[in-house]
Amino acid sequence: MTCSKCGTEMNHQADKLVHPVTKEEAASMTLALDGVIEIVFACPGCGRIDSRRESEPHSERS
Amino acid sequence: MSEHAANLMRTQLAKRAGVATELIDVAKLPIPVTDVGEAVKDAGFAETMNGADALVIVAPEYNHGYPGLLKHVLDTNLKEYIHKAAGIVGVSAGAFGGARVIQNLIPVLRELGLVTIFWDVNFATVGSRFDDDGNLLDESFLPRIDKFLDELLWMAETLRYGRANVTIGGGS
Repeated sequence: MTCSKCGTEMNHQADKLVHPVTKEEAASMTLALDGVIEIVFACPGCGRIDSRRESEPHSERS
Repeated sequence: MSEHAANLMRTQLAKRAGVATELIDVAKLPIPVTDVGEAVKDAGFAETMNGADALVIVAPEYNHGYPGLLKHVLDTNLKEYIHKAAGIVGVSAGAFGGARVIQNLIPVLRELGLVTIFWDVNFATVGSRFDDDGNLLDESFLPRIDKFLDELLWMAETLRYGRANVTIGGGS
């Protein structure tokens, strides 16, 4: 992922389990994990944080 | 009375080199109570959290717990908190200095991805700790606040490096 603020390539710093709160999230959750994975990135350049949802459970890391 | 404690913490933190601080009163944030979580995220608050390296949460204790409004506001963000340092200052009118609100907040902060430090500050009998203008009446609090801030800043700096440079799982 590229930083939306400064354009630097971001570091994949965390995989955070998020418990669903909407019907859409509940539909995509993995029962074994009881949630969905939020992949969290940090920018080495400016420190900005960004994230995206993992499309498949326990898939390769981005 | 929590406001006096918060102002004191901010003043002490602002004395540290290279530290920029911002005092946020959760009661003044334009966050509705008609929904919860990221559905009611406030862009300004989220941007502040995104840029922060650490949080000092000054929490009054109500019925052994934290104020509902504090939890409501904290719940509006997630990614912005991940791997960032957090320290808790407990405030109470009674003798226990918010010890129970601190213990109840720790699991919430952990689930939000914050990294709690092992120093707390406890303002017991807070009504007698500050004068009407918010000046601290008992300077014996200051050494403990210094230790709290030493640990918070160490954790903030370490986690900032880790967020930027250490990849989870060792991957690339």
